Amino acid sequence: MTMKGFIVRNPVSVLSPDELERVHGAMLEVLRETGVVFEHPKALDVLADAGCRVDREKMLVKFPPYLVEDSLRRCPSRVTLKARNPKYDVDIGGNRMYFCPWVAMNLYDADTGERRAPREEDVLQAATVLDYLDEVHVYGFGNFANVDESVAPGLCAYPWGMAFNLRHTEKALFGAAILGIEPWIVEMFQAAGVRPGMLVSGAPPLTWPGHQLLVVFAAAEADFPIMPFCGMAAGSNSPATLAGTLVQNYAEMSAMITLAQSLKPGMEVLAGDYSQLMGMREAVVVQGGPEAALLDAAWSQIWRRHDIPRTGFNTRTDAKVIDYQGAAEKTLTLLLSVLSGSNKIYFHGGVYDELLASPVAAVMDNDVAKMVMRIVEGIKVTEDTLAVDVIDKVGPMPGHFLSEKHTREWWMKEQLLPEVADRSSYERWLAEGKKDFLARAKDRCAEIAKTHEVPPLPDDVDRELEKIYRSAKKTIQSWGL
Amino acid sequence: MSETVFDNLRRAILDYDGDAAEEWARKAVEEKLEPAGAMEVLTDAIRQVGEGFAREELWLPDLVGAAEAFTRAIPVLEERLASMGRERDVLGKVVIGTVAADIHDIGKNMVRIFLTAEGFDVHDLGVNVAAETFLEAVKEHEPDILAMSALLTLTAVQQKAVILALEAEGLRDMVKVMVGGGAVTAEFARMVGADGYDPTAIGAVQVARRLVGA
Repeated sequence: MTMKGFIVRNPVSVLSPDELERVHGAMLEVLRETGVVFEHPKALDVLADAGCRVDREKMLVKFPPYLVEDSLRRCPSRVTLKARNPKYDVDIGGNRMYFCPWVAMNLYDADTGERRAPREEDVLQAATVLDYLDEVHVYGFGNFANVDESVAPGLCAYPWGMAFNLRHTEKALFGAAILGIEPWIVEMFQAAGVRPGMLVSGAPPLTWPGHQLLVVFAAAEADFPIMPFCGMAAGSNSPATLAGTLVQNYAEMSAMITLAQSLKPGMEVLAGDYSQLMGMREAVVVQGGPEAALLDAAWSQIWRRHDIPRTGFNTRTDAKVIDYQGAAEKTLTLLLSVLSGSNKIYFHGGVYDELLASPVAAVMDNDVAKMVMRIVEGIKVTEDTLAVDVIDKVGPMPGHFLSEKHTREWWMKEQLLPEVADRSSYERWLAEGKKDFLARAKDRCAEIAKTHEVPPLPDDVDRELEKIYRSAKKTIQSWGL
Repeated sequence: MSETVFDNLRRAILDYDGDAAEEWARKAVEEKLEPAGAMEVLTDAIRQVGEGFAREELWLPDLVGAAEAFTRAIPVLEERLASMGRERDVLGKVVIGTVAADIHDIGKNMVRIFLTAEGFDVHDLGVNVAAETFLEAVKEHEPDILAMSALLTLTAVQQKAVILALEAEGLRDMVKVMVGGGAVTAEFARMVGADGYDPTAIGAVQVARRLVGA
């Protein structure tokens, strides 16, 4: 059985049909006239065979529109992942929506408010909490893509993290590899008998790096889906205009989909996007806010047009602590992302972009996810919910509905029961120590970490992962990485 | 026979079924079963629901449903007791109402139902109750507790007016005063000189118990 996630009916649009068509046409023009660089000879061979014009010296590929259109049509409409525990398998696509955790380099320590490299116990706490939270449907990468040097030095953090995720969650996973370490990553997933998605990261403008193409080839070989995405910062590596950023990133992604479908027809692709702006004062990327929300919704619309599943890294914030700005920016984008029909949303635990994450924030986000999905569920209108009979029975005052069977039957279906958000009386709140959302989430997070247990991997799998990690570590260190 | 009737009486409370509660109370009377025994069954069932609520397994609609079913059965048994020349054992007598100019009564009704289910004898004066009406009721019923509700910020001060009127008539020492309602806070309750306050209807039961020393 697969995880159910949520169903989003009647998604909203931010582009008119005419605007969507113009973005599409512009994308085809960029691919035909400007082209995209693929920094690997095998990719150039595959695309040349498929009918592209290839300049080998520049590694530049120009795409005939028919081939792009055809590849978008042939790209499967579902991405299926197999988890350690089959109840966590996911089927991404259509009108189904899943939440997954945010990924960051550092821990936001909710006790001190400081940022630091996560230690092993921090990664374990985050993993345990994410495995527990019911609205974390699938793992992106865990909360952290990094760990303290003393645990796994340098690039070893990648294979260490993959093995760690396999050991500490039963949910379906995504994996990532850079600079040629993909053989060990793939081997680990195969040893554990799971089918992950593999992240493939582009380098805008209009470039797919060679070491990421190696990930595409390894995924094709292993029959794993890929999740390509490009980190945009509008005004620097893409046009300052939101529409121009859409056109360029749409071209980059369509070029990758064309490669995938030419390399291995029917290869499953989860179209990703990471839409940011360039901060024009300090040259730091601007994460959260209305622009990211609009781009996110536009991406849902673009990929829905092709019936290609889509995920976004856009529920971000520029806030460096867990605060009002963070909540506002994350929720703003989340609501629009959900309403526009995203298939998978990176959400739980993010504090400041890729730089900070916190399992305490993940506990808070789980409540927010429930609130947003309550909105999506909408107002149920049936004879029973219209309640004319019970209104008639209760009548004017002093009648009341509290003791009506109709109330007992319906209230809990209509009313969300947050796990952490405070809905108590003022006096109860005083009596319980004046705890705000953050304090309550800290308590809950500690409780989950203490009580939730993830079943261990079978001994032989565990030993195999350790063996693969040692082999990876030896090679990575011999490379000086 | 009494077992079946009493079982059904208990079931009626646990099913939050007022009609059944009343029906099985009548059956108990018809079959000349001991009314005090029937009351005990009802009290025990309501306690069971109360415990479920305290454990956060049950919710307000369950509690109110059970308590309201309870209040449907009680008058039938009280009538039977009266015909036998006896009275129901109560924890104390309460006069309750919503103050003048305020017609919100759900909170007040919940307090009435919970106090009744707890074993208090409650006289409900309704809503929009004038200060003089509260005074007359205190004189007539000689309650242990006068309970006043006010939902609106503008009407909460009426609670103060009633307490002043009680003082003026020399009745203040005869009765404990508890206040509640959406507009009332612990600070406000202290300011108007009330003896007890709780922000929730269910909390009001413990306040009442404390005020009568139960």
